[in-house]
Amino acid sequence: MTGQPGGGPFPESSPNAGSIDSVLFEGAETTQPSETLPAEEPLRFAYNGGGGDILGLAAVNALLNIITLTLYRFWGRTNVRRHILARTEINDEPMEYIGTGWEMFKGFVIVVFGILLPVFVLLVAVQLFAPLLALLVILPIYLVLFVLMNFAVYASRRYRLSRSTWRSIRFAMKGSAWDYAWAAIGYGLLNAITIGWYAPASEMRLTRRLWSETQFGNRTFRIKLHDSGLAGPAYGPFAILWIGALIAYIGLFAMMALLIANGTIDPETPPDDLTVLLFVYGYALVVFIVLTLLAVPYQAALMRRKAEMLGFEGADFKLDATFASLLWLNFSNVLILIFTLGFGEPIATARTFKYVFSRLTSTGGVDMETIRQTLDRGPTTGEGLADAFDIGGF
Amino acid sequence: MLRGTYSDGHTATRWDVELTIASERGLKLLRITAPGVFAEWDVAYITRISGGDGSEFRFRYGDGDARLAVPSRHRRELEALAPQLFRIRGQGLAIAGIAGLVLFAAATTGLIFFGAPVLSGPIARATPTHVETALGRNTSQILGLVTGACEVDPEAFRQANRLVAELNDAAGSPFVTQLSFVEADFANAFALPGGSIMVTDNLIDMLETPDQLAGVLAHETAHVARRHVMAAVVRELGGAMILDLLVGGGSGAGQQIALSGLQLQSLRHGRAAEAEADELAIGYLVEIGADPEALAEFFDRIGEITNDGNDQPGMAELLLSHPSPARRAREARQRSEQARAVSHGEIRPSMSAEAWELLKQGCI
Repeated sequence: MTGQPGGGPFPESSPNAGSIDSVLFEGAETTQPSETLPAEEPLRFAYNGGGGDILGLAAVNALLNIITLTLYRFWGRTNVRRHILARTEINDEPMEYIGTGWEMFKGFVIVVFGILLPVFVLLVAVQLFAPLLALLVILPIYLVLFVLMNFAVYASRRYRLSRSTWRSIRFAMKGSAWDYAWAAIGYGLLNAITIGWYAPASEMRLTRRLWSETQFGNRTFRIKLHDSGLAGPAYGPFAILWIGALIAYIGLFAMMALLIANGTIDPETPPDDLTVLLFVYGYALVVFIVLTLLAVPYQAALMRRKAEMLGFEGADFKLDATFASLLWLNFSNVLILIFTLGFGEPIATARTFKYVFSRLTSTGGVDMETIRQTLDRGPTTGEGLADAFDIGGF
Repeated sequence: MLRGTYSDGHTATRWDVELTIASERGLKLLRITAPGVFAEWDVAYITRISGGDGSEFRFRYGDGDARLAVPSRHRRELEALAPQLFRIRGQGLAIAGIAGLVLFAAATTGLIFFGAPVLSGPIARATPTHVETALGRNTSQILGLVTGACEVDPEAFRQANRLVAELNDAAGSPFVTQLSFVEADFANAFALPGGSIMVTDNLIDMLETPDQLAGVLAHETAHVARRHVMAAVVRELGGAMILDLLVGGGSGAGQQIALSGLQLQSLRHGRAAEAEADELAIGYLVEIGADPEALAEFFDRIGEITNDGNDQPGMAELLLSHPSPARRAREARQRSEQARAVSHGEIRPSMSAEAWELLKQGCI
């Protein structure tokens, strides 16, 4: 055993560094965890902060993003993740984010020179010199980009998890991002064919796929629900949303047809009558508000179902997502984003974390001693594609 | 006794541990012990990860996985044993990193706002003419999708084409300029890359004399000859590409600020090209014997129509693609007086009265 903790850049002149390892492994059989902790620990979750404590960080990030032509965003995002995970507690112990801005920046550089620049040059060249052939080239490129976008969803989650730790143990994802991308595209087609009715099932199936490949240390999350009825409880609220949307659109067309029929609107010329405009936009606003309200129960049902679907070792989960609480979270987060011109995004993210981790409960427990570190250190660079496609995931 | 909690990076167990400091062979070691646990960390390689804001202090050793947490109330004891654990490190590096990013951003901004405009002219002029011609052909194909073809009276068309050919010679243009009329809902004339000039029927309708048409055509010929359109293509593609690649997805407020900066910049250079074309047009008109004053009249006409007779540079002009009509008219008038003062050529009509009448009838 050399004196190098974690294979780090440490000189041989510190012979004692890391001698812990040999001692621990030699004495592993007799090692006992502290007596205050039972072998099977129940899990308690909490978020030890609010939205306000991240305000300063959000402001600094906004300022540095402006003066660096947004290049600071990789470090800014890393600091936000560090801040939020440091306040996310499991059994009174915070999680830790160990990613760096530098590895995200490297991911960005790779994607810029490996994908974006060549695609950009190709698209420009085609449009400049053969615009009528452009469709033949552009369509396949967009299809490839669409696959890559779904790939990026998975890859960025894998990166974030591999940089998230709790009690010195890393999370990991062991599946294939390509498989996920193709599955997402397949489900997308099914959604289109079923005019949206497959959406709850596809959302649950994609989430299930992500979690069934998620590990904490060397242990994989358990999936307790299988195909039949996977999205069952979400279908009621979804049906209300879907029918609400249908009625709203029929109403809009009926109204326009009525206004055209009685001559208030001439389809050939843009309407200049202010009252007509106000009426149309007013209707759109009402529709927007009603559909946003109807979407909340669906969102809450999905959140509850996803928690219910999951288990880890002997622990089961439950998320108390209710209509009123989620409505308030969405509404206040939107207001924060509007009034900060988007710069308050970290605040909204922190509030969402607080929402989930203060409403997440668990029954059963986990024998922590049996959970070993994963050998998978995750990708060496992070999220270049997700950054290029502006895929969220905080 | 100083106490903390420890996770070793191998299992998800947490140990309550005792902490002591030992010195051995000149090294200062933090000893972490509990029943079944023994670790020694060389203090020089311990990094504080978090703490100081009321929460516990967390430490790691090198870049290893193991973590040590010490309640914040033990700070004084721990600091007495190993003060270096509480020194703030890496700030210099962070500041240098941010300074590097700012410098890079400034250099990129310089390239987009000053480099690309300076380089775009030479790059455009170095572009082989057949490449620009091919580009122009494609552009007119696309424009053909949004505009309708407009055939005017053949004699009027012949005379307008002769006018363009004369202007082309006067400009010493590397292209054979081709004139076409199109049907569109707006009054405008454009120069495409590679020497096509398009004039809309609404513009013909707006013009009062054949000399005004000559003025418009002289202005567009200057764009063609100076390869302004090609320069704009180079400039905007270059700038847009660099910025788009840099700012990534682009839905955030910061990204939008960066991108609208580019928009303003492109308008500014657009106006500079317009001013140059106005200036050159006067020379071409004098050379072919047309009345240069007509260009000024044409700008007066735009001013009347757009109701923008006031001559106040500032925000309004900053957001426009062309300089204000009043300013253009004034400058055109000054220049045409100067040009007329030194030129001894006779002024002759740009087009016969009959042909002009036929052209004014518009598309047939």
